[in-house]
Amino acid sequence: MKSDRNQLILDQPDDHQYLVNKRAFADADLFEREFSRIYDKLWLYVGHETEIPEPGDFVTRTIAHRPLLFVRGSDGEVTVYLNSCTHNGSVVCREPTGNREFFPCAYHGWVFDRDGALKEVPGETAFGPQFSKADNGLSVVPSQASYQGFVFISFAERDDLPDYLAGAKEYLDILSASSAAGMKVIPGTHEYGTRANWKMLPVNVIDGNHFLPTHVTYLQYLQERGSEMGHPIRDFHETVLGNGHTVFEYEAPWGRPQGKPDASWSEEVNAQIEARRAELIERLGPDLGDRLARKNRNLVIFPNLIINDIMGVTIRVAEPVSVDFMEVTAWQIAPADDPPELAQVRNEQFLTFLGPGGFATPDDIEGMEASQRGFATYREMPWVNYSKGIAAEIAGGLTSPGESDFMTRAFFNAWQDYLGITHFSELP
Amino acid sequence: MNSQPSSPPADQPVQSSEVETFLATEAWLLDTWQLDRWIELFDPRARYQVPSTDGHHLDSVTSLYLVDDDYRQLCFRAKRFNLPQGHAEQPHSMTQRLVTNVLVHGEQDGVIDVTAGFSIHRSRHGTATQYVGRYEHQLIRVDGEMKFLNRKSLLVMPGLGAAGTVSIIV
Repeated sequence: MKSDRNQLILDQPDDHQYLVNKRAFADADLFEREFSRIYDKLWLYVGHETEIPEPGDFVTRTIAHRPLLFVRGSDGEVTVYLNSCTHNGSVVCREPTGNREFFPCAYHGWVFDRDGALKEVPGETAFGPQFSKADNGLSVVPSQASYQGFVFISFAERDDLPDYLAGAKEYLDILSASSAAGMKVIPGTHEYGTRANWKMLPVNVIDGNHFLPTHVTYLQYLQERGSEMGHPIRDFHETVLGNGHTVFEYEAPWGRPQGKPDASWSEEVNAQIEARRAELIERLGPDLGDRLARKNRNLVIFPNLIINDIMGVTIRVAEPVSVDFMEVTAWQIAPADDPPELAQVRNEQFLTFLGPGGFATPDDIEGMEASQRGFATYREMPWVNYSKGIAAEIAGGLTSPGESDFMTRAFFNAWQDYLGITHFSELP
Repeated sequence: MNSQPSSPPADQPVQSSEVETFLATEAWLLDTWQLDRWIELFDPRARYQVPSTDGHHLDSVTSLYLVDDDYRQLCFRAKRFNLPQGHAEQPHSMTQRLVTNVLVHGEQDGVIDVTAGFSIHRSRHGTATQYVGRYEHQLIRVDGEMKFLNRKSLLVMPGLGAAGTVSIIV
């Protein structure tokens, strides 16, 4: 094997090798490059429209280090503002969430309304005759667009969200169709840090290979509660969706409150879930209805949005804080009309696997953090091995779940294309 | 430890010293990883709940908690700590809990409402982190023994941040 440790990726199909440099997770200069080429340029997920249903509803959020104000205006439209006063720059809204008609800046008293307009300036005449409140409203982010209620922004000028989402659009369509009453983000947010590079979170979701070694205790939980454990994972499809986005779809042993009963749940609850399945099939047809009810989908939209439609449905965002630390924010999105007994089962399903208190997510975090510590060996042993499945693909064979890293390879190929370099020596 | 506080008011049959001992015992069992004894502190009707850091008083059915265990889930949680593939707590964190400001708010139909403050210092993989918060427990007596009916932990933190997970009991 020819090894050049100056390379970001060593892609040598003839040797059945695809290796990513550990330094890509540990080099602060490369992290700066990722910020300027990825987080300053691509579409980033901010929030879901159902988080702020009424005019004046707002949340504040930090995306790519910038403080943002996500607010629904008087006309019912949602807008993402840079949360910084047009006077001296202070954060205008200092609350995480709420409903307001006006956003007064605490520092010098400038007042903005929920449509971003500047309404009051103490001592306005002293700014002179050329000053105009109309020119000093809150600044919007350079680009904003929604798809199926998912609101994205870019710090670059762009108007191509549907093209950028590419094949991922279908999966946002499917998710949004999974309840006749619509899907909404429910209150309560998981906010937690992970001592690992931001890329580890999407790669953890893309990589089905880790499931059995990492999550064997979750399968034990299912077994003990009485779920049917016949075939662990079946009907498995992995798809590269373009622009660095990926999905894998599969049926798993666990039930889904979205439409697949579980032997451990009460007859009453399972009857409601069967009714939900029947509704999906009637509304969407037998193929799509069955697919939504029965199958799980792990979706990664490059770079910062992850949607796992699995035991429950979670939306997760990774905010890169530094090269070796990310802040993760996670929400639950659920049918808007779940009766309490179904919501209770849905929450049990969600919380026993997902989140920082689940029986699985903390093990993923342990794996990511242990990897980050291990990557400090990049000078002596540079390579992370994502070669699984290359030999079979070259031979024209099909791969089974857990037998290929081809989606991880697609993720890193897109990442390298966005960075526009192939060698660390190209960094300034 | 010898001087006793003045006798409790007639309308408060539970002595705070008894509750303090119960909570200190619980903290000791957790810090020393005596999980089989710890789980015996729970009534089978009990829940262990940790609301999300941004929603302390939201309802557990209509909102997202960090932890909302019934007794069956809680028993598995306790057992998972000693499963070799429960990676998040293998090896176990070192913890030291400080439980203080214990208040008994009253007793109704045999259910005792208790609040307390806590600080949990945790060391893991060479890094120290901290959890700070407030307990809002409901206790009952079963055959003279104090038990948890609801063990609710409110994390007074802006998110879990560097603490990362609630893979230990908080």
